[in-house]
Amino acid sequence: MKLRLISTGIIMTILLSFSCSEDEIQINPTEGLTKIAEGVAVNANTKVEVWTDEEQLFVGYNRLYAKLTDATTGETINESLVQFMPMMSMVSGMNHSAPVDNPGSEQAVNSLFIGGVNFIMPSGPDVGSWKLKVKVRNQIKNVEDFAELDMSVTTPEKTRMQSFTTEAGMKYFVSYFFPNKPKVGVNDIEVMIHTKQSMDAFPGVTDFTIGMEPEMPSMDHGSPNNVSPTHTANGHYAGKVNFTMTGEWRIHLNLSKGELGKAMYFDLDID
Amino acid sequence: MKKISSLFLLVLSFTLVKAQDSLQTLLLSEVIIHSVQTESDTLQNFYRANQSANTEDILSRMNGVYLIRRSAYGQEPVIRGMSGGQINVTIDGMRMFSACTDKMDPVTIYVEPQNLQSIDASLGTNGTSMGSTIGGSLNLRLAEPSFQKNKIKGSAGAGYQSISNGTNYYTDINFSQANSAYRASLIYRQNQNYKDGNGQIVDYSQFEKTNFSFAGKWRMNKDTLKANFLIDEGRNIGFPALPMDVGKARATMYSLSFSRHTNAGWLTNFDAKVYANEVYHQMDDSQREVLMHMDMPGWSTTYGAYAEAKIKRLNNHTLQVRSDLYHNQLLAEMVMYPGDGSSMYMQTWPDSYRTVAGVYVADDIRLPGRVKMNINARLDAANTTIKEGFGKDQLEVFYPTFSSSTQKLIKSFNATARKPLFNNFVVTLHGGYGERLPTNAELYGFYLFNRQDIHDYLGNPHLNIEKSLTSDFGIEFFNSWLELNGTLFYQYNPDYILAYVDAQLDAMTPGASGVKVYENISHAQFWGLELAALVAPMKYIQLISNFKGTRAETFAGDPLPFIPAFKNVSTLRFKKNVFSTQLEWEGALSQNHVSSSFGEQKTPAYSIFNFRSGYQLPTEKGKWSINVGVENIGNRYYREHLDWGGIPRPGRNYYCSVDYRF
Ligand SMILES: [Cu+2]
Ligand SMILES: [Cu+2]
Repeated sequence: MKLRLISTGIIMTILLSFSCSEDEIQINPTEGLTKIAEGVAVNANTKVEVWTDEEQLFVGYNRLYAKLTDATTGETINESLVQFMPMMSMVSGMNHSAPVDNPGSEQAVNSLFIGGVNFIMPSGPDVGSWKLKVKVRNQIKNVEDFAELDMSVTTPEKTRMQSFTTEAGMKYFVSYFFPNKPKVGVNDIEVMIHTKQSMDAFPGVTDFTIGMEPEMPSMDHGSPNNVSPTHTANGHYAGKVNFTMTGEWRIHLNLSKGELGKAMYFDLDID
Repeated sequence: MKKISSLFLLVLSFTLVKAQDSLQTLLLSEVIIHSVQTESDTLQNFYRANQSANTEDILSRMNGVYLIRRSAYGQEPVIRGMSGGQINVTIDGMRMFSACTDKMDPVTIYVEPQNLQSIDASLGTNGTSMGSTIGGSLNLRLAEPSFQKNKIKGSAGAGYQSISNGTNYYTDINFSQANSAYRASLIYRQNQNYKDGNGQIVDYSQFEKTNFSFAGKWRMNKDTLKANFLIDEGRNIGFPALPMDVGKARATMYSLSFSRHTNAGWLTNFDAKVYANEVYHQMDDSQREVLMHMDMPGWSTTYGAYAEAKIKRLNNHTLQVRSDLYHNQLLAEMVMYPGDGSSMYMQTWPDSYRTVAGVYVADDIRLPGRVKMNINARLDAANTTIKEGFGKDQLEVFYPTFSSSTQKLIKSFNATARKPLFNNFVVTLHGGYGERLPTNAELYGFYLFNRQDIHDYLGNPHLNIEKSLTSDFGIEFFNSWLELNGTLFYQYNPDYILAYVDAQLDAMTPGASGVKVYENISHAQFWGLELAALVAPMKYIQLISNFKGTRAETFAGDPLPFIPAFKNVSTLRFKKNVFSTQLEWEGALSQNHVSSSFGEQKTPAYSIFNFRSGYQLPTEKGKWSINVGVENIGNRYYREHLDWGGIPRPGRNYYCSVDYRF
């Protein structure tokens, strides 16, 4: 076992030393990601691929990675405007969007434009269908166009997004997200709170106070030294959550904003 | 090198009967108990003659040595109130470490009386020849193949114990040729739940084990090469004082050693050894009724080597030099199975390793006025590393910035002077300083449940080394029929490692009431005494008695936990020709100086009697021996203070054994 680890280490080192040129590390940018859909923004002559962290999209906050290539040459495009515009056509005939984070810059990071969407409903024959428009700009021709992609959004086994409506009629969407796959130890966590202004506008809410407490329900214990999320930008709240063993954990959140208070929890598996 | 030998008494009975003038020599030098093959008439042999006796029975009768008992088997040695990482237990000079987070497997269990040659004990800081220590050391020497006239020698025997319906069988065989000799031994023990003095069955007190050893020895002129292999496998070992039992525990040891005994040049003795040992410990609660079952396997692997040399006497100095190295790797896991839902995993001893290299120098000096001095010093360089990954990530929850490797230098220094006074007295003075590393459990342990105080224990990677200043004052008296020996000791331990409740932390184990974290406290102090007497008024009769006691407190005057009560064992022995008989009285004072924060309860005094007898029947080719006896004759319901969980000791036990030696 140890020997195998060592030899794997040696092989890895050899491989790395072969594959690394001096000034750039060519790790496949979509390594470990799943391609959800691809399409072409015709007028911008740009092929758009959308990737995500997990096997499929789910109700909750999904990080989206757009990879752009020249539709003719296949060359990677590293500079472009990228905007995600999710839209759901409900069976009922209503249309609505969802909370969105667009890439913060027109420069790709390691060939990817990173944003996110909090899909607030699943897709399905009884519910409706999601489309994601990805708006891009051809820098040379200075032409903007979008690719329209079909998204299939599943209901996850364990809830990852919850919404509630206040007495005043304000609707809030709460979701969470781990920048790195959660593990036993100290983890960065982000909690996102969005509200519904209109069918097309789901802005982040910046003035909640969040109390956070992880718990292991089967053993009735928690973990120490957690850092409750505080607001960073656009309705994102960043904190630290600690897991002391693998298994099923529950993250309790206590949201408050002025008079408003709301308690909820999310269950998740740590392995 | 002079050790304060705890076995002194056991040997005395042998010495005194044998020759008067050798008595003094023995008193003044290191004590060695002879192996079975020499068939010397030692008390240890007498204990061993009771074939159901185990190494623990011998340890418990040694001066300054006590045992923490959590079950009928696998008791943990304590020297003057110190245990675990505070003392040093070696087997044939080899370092070996338990794989159980609950201390179920002290390494002393791997040596059975049948393959034990002798036990060297040193008390206090003075036992550093095999490694740094503050509390003392035990070195269990394994029996070696011997060169004999008879090509094949050996023995076989069986024993029975009524209290646990226990049986044990053993055999050993020695095969010798001109320049090579081999020895093998095999021991099997099986015990069911025993009954206490009230006739109640003590649940989960059963155990079963097999121990096999094989050794080869080859000689060429002054050189000897030895190879040793030992495997010990325990199965279904119950721990009544703990919430878990052992499904299976296996230890293997390998060693290869070389020695040269020469008078040429400046060397007299040279010994070197390389060794490896491995312990696998599988602890579970599958036989218990619990809400949630768990498995707790552990692994401990050690590699090491040492070389030591005795240097020819120069003027009044005799030097001994030793250098050693070991590398130990530890991992213990815990998997919990809730009724429904996925299992939960953590590392109770995160994957970690420790490498220690040391040098030891001792000088025996003869001074005018028949004063003998021993000065010794040791320096160890130690690296301890917790591996990157799961175990370290876990601990970062508590210590976000701790560094995964620590390096320490461990120093110790001792000086002992012995002076004969008048014609019948010897006075000994010892002063020493010692240091010890925190154990990996104390550094990195993760939610280790302690049944005694119902707390989860958490390691502290920022722990400092624990130190000790030791002083001993001993006085011995002897004449033709009486031996008296008394030692007073005092130890002052700065940076003593002790666990305290951290009220901020939540317990993990269901039912635990909180979390304790190890800390270095300002200091703790230990004091106590050991008294021994041997009376041999007639050739056939001996009375030996030893009394030992320790007190210990923190700097604040709080009693330290797991400090034994004052205890006496006295033996009156009659031996004539082929018949021997022995009456033992064993008793302890009550222990009321207890640490309630460690869940200790007061322990009442007790007093029990044992009776043993032996009969030997020589035949043409060999010798039969039959032993019968009764332990705890009065069927008293009692426990000793270091017995965990208030679990009582066995009630009246009849035993018998028969063996044949050829
Ligand atoms: Cu748990
Ligand atoms: Cu164990």
